[in-house]
Amino acid sequence: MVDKTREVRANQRLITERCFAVLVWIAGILGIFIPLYIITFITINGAPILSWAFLTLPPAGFPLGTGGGIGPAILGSLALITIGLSFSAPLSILAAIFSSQYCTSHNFLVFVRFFAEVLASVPSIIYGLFGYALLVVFFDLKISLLAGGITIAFMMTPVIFVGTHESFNLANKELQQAAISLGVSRLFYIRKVLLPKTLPSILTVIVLASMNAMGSAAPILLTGAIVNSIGEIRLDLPVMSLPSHIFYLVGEAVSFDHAFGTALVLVGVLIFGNMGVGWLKWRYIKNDG
Amino acid sequence: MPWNKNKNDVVFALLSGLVLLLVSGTSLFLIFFIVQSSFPELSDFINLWPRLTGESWSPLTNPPTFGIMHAWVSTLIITTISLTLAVPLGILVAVFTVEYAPRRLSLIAIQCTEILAGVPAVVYGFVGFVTLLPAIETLFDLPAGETLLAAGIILAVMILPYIAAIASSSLNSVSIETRIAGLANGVPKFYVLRKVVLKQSLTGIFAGTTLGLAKALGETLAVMMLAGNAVAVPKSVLDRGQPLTSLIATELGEAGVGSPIYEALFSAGATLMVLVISINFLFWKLKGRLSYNG
Repeated sequence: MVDKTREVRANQRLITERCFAVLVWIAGILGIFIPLYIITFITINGAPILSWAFLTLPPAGFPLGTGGGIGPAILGSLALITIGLSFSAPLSILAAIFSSQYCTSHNFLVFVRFFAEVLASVPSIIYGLFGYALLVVFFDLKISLLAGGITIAFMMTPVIFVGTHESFNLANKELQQAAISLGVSRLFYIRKVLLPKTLPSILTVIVLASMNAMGSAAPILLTGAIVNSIGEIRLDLPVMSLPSHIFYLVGEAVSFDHAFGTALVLVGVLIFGNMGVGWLKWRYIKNDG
Repeated sequence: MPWNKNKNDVVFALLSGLVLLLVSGTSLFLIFFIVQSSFPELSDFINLWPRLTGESWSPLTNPPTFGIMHAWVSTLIITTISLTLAVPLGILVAVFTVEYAPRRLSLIAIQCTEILAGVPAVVYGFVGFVTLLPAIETLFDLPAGETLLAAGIILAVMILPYIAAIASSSLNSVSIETRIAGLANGVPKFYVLRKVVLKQSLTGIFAGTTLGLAKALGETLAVMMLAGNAVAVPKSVLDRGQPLTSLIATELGEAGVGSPIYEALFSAGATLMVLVISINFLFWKLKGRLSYNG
């Protein structure tokens, strides 16, 4: 009698164990399947339309976007990122240098870090709202490349700041004492030791921030994007961008073929960037060891 | 001072300090600006409550009404759907990669979920538009598939990698000895997992959930493409809706500066921002505890 209940209980336990394992495997396979499905889906549907002409020509046809290509959108995305980076990268790296090298107040540092991390996670639409009200309307930049680029810079700054601050702190732990004991000045240490040493991780952060900005359409839609341009890149004119172009093609049901093609280009660039970051990290680790 | 000093050094310190002040000043201004624009005068603060609870958004009627209740109800429903789907799945995926999968497969799964995090929102919206909407149309026999459910499902896929990544790193931080001790005593794997490992990594799982929540609240484009952009207060998950983010993105272009609609959109933005900032505060606290435990 006693033996029997024990056997039943053991059986039950075995069954729960098995069920849970099956559940976990299903979840795991889903976790592999969903991304692969999305990527394959885009690739299969987007590949037929890819051609040199698609990558370089402006959109054409009626309604606009049913023919031609996405040349101006690629250029526009690149221009937005470039402007965003040229504002945010120097500023946030300088700010990170100050907080990791010169600032001595612990409380202030904790506050700045918390504040930056909060800003890094503020939804991109809020940056769009801010950029629209301040840059487009108040400073009268209109919907333009410059307004879009500065909005992007606002988004990138906290991300780059947090990333570089982290890597400066790590490098400090190893190298600062040595530098002090050799009697060099701080500026020399920063220029000749700290920056070269942390270059791979600075680049990593910059690439990550750029890819993040490249994919986000919401703020650009409000501040810098237009559905069609002939590809002229000027600071005071709006530009096309890859994500906003997809949004237009799908939202107005213009052409799904072209949307697939554009999505493939965008995702391709982002995955390529991800791989680049992986390679940088790997190099960084190798150099360290 | 231990450092060898020279003049350039001081100049550089001043310069970088100024830059830090400039950057943090601008950022503080951003937060202040958004909140302030939603009620330009202090007396308008009283309008905030009726605006938040107003059921009707109709800027074109006379008199116009700017209730944004439909928006935050939509946001609430979509976020709930996405968390109910993504949190259990994310935890299970994490358990899979840490405990169950062979090493190779586990690496593949981690790589795949990382890819998921790199795909931009608009692409998710598009893929959902062509795959999910027709499926929902046939499944629930609806005239159009744009529903809160569709937006919630896609959002779940979007936040899955964040939840899975944080959950698996906190599962990893539970020491191997704990597991081995359990297994050596003949306790089944699931039992050890349930009673010991998951319990110890609860903080991490919760932190992952808060991060996912913050991401879900702020997501704009994918949700906008799938939720249908209707301004009625949604009553079920199969209704159309317009979350806070979509409301802003849709209406901002037509809002004159300083007009009531402009203020209403800013109060939508401010609500969203305050929510996300408080969630992040929670996340920050939890992360502190996390690294302390690990």
